[in-house]
Amino acid sequence: MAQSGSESTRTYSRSSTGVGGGSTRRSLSSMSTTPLSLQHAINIDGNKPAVIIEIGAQLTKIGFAGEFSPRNIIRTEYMDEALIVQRDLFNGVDETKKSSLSRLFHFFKHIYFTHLLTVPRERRVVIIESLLTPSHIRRAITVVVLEMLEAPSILFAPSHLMATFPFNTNTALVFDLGWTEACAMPIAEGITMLSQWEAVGKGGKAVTKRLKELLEKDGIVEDLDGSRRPLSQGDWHVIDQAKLLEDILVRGVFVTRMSRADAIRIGEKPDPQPSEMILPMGTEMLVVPGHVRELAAEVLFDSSSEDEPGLHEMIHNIVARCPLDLRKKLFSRLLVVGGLAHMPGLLPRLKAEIVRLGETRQLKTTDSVGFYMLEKCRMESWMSWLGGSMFGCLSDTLTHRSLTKEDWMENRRLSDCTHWNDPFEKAGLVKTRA
Amino acid sequence: MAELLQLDRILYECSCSEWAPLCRLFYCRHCSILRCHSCTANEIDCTFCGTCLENVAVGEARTRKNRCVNCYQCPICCSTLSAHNSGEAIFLSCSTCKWSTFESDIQQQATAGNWKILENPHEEELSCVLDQMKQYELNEKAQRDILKRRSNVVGSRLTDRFGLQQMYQKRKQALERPTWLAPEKEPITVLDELYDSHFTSIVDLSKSLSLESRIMQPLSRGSECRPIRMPLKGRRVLRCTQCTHNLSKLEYSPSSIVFKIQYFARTYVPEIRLWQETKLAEGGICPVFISVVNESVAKADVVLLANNDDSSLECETPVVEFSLPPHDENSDNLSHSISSLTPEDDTIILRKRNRVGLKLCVKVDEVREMNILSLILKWKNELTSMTSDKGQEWRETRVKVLLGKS
Amino acid sequence: MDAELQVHPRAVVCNESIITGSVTIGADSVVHPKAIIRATKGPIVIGERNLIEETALIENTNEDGAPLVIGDDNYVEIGAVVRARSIGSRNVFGIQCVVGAEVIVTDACSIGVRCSVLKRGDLAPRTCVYGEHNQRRTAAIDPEPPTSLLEVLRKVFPSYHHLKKATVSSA
Repeated sequence: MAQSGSESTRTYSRSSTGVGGGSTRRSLSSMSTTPLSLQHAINIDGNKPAVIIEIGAQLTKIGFAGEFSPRNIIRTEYMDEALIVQRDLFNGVDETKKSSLSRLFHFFKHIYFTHLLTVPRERRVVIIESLLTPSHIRRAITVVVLEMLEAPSILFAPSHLMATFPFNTNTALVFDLGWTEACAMPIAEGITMLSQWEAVGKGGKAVTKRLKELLEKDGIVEDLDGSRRPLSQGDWHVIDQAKLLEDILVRGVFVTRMSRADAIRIGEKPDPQPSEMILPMGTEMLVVPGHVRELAAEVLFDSSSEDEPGLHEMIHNIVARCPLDLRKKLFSRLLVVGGLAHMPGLLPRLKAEIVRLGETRQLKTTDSVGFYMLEKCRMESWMSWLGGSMFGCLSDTLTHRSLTKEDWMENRRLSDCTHWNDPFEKAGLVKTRA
Repeated sequence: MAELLQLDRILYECSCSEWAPLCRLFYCRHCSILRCHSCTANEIDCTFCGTCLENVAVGEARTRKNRCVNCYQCPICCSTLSAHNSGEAIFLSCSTCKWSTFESDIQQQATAGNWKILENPHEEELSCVLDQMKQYELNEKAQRDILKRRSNVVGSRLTDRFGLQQMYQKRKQALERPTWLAPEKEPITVLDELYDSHFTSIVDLSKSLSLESRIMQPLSRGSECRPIRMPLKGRRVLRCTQCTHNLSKLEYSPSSIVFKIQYFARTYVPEIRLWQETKLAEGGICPVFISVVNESVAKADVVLLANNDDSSLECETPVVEFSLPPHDENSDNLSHSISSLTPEDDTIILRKRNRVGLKLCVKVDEVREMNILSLILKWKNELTSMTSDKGQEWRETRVKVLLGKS
Repeated sequence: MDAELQVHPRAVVCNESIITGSVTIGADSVVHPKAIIRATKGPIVIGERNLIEETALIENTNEDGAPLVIGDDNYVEIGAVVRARSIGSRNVFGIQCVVGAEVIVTDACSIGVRCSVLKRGDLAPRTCVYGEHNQRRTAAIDPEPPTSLLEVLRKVFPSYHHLKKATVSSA
């Protein structure tokens, strides 16, 4: 009899979810203060770290909690059985129509069975998302992960907040430069200031578009006999197939110094001129003139219209809306993440533009503009993922804040990040989570 | 002619209402229904390296981060690297793009395997920060526990007979703010401006990596390359979600393509194929030639019914009933002449061993982009259920035939 | 049997190879059956230890009739179409690649499978052309010459093929 009693307490203490309130026996790990520096992949339902996924418009970062780099970074597309590459995964998703979710479902299956090599049923899922993600997309992801893949739980983590975790900071102005847009949000004392967000459609897509326009005007093709001719309409087919625009953006485009940009804007050609970039295009060579390399990224700092401010103006706008005591702090703690942050010369130029705009507006707060950086390794494109991976190690928090499969099947409610304390829960209309 | 064999022209309805060609469907004998890839659960059976076909146990694969220790990929073009001798030492090189380890920082080494991978230089800092986050979490949890606990009075009064004093001390410690804090990262204010040399020097495509190379090695700084360990692959096992029996399972060895368990739909459901390309003429009755094949090892009784939906073409032939003998592998292909060239009736034109050719009459009002002929296929085959008595029940599914334009 | 074909005594040139015009083949080279060497507009001089595989085409299309000089240790794989102005040593021409006229291939270049190099002018040493879209890079080491393959073929071919007779070359 005594044996069965101790057995039952043993199993009781091991379970960490849904045992209702008032349990007197807690598992020992929650009370001990032993050094945890060795056990980053801590026990979650049996020693399995959670799966951390960040789905971007172009690249998806996937990996496990506790690791400091994603296992795989893949493009947000997959090849189906007919060997056609499927790209628009979120087009027309509707949680009620299973057929519209099939592309997303296959993408997740591809993630699990080709890259992570794990069964979805065994591990919790943390999805790093932008706070501006539309609800129907979040709900579609929830349906796919909880219902179709049968993962035990899902947690949507806001990407801007996650990006601050690796720096151990409570206050930062997080600036996400992605493909579709640049979105910035201030975080103060650990609270994401949701009402001060600002997003402008100036991301990788805009820079590529400007690059294409510049090439259409000034691009040169080196023919077979070495003679040069301007780029013509028929060449674009080859360029698109070989993804040359992306190559030029990653390897050749840079953000020039502010003094040079000012000179170019008034029509001068500052010395020295950047070198041209020659890359193979089919059997000929595409020559990207130096000024095209220099000017493509200028779209980011164009302050031509009210709706589309330059990046530096965006930051000033946000800080101007924040309380006075935070302003200097936010300027000195800028955190630039996202794929576009890898462009050479971006950070110094951003600093120079911010300082200049501050001077014209006679602000004292821009005296010390500083950036959070991990200098030894360029991790900007997956900084949010890194924060999410560190967050995913906190087993208790995950248990407390995740939406479990049972909860979802019963209530089909997916709360926003702002609704941790659910008014429905408090009113007793809905069963409480563990 | 090849259009007749296109997979997506004849679609069967799976039990989850998805449409798929028969070759992509499975048949669960325990539940006696069709299953497709969307309604089966995948599991990883064994993990192995695609290049050296070494079987790696699942636990070991996890510690090795799902990478093979012996095989390496070129960081530039993703093809396999091969090892070569140069004097005493060994270096790796790619046969496609001729990248070699001489271009990375570790040029040669004594052993062919175990090339060093790139490490995260900030690992220690991040570990410290992670530890601190865990401290905060414990703190938060302890504070949450206070709300749930009724009496905190059990404390110093009691003697330590039940070990409660220790528990109390521990709980009290957890509630205190952690005194040791990981250092907060300082933002960097001094930034190097873009030097002229950064943009006047020639863009060397060999030195700067493409996006593909960068995402294959997240820890590279845009120009570093090390050989990348080959990612492992996983063998999948398909399982019916309802009855959790396996539907498709390969032998354990990675190089084997023999199935241990195979419940493919083709061996249990009669297969409908297009026999000739149909020419649809508007405003008339067109013949549609299809053939039905029985690939199972038992006799099948088949009934084809017309299913005149709104969106499908109207089929004038209401019912066709016939029975198909089993598929016999040993019968000679050439020796048997075609059993009956003379059509039995208007519908059944041809019969050849386990195959029957049918002519269905279809009334075409207007020729659209997608002309669909809907049929209901009923069949009775003793193999369709695990228990032999239930096998004599009729099974039913819908079939969609996509006929081309005229 | 072309009188202008000069074959070194140690070279192995199969009878079924299609050689037209003034062609000189150096020591230890191997020419497979069905390899095509056409000295259309001028002579072709092939150096030592070259391996020319079947259905490869080497043609001299130099407008000024200059000889197409091919160096040593080159490997021309199956189906390659080589019409360069001149070729150095230790190059590898991949399967079904195309090298156009007036291209000067220097040393240790590697033209990948189905790649094309059509641009007139020099191809820098150790250039590697690879991939679906003719990407280029400069390698750090020379590609491996087909030494072992040459040895095996020199031993095996005489047993299975008739060979072109060696001419006593003055060089």
